[in-house]
Amino acid sequence: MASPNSQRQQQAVRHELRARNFRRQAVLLLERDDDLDCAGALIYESAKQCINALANQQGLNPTRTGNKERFLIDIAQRQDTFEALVPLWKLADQLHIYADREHLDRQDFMEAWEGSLLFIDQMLTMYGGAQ
Amino acid sequence: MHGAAHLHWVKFVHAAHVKGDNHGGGIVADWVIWRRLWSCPAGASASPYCIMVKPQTDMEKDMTTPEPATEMTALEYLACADREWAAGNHQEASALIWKATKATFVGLAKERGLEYDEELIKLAKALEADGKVYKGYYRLSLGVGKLLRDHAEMDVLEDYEQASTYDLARRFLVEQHGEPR
Repeated sequence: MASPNSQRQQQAVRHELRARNFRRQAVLLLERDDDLDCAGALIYESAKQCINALANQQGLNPTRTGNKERFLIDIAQRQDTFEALVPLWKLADQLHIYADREHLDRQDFMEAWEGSLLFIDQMLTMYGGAQ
Repeated sequence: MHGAAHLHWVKFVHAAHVKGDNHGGGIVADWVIWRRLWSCPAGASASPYCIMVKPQTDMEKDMTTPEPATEMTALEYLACADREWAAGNHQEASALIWKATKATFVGLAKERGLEYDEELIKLAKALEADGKVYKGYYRLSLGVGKLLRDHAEMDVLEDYEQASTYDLARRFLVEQHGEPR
């Protein structure tokens, strides 16, 4: 039977894969179909999976989104990147809201989109750096 | 300012137009809510003095009714927002923080002689162009402000998200203006 630590590491790998897949699908949806709300929803999911992966890597399993955000704030403070990482996560959240409300104009959507991609890149870099 | 109570009128729920059915004579109800706030010394609780709700007719809208108060400064908006937040009125606090954010950007533009339009995003980029702040500092602050604007208008943030978003937006305002008294 796998140890809890080994289970967490397996979860981390799965979450990292999902994060990359969601991002790839989201970019395709935007570029090919100009489907803003589906692309935005998938980018938000990718961002969440990044947080999961990093948390799992550290032996944690934040199930609720509130716990994910608390974990993110914690690592951002520890790594002194709070100024950038948490606001970038907020932009991903804006895309999540957009998927329901379609309330952003194109310019605001693209701002949130680019910020969310940057968030995912930074998180995956942190994840890779700790491997 | 010290010790004296100052009265402000704050227009709330400006985005929550309730465009109901036409009632007699084709009047479109466009509800405007004004809340009167006392600007109290720090630590005092928010005390909405009165709430006035009135349907506004098209004719009234054309009459350009003057707003009861001049625009507040960003710091005054922030002080009001803090009191609303402490009183548990998170949507109203969010609306005020957004106003403070906008006022801050407009102030920065004037201070540095930069042109700006309604969108503010070009201004945020222009403010970062000199490299004195990290790339994204103003753009992200604007984005966080807009998230609070959305919450004020549509009640979109979960409880756990509200505090962290408010803290982020507040942090930017305090960096720009200092703490409100």
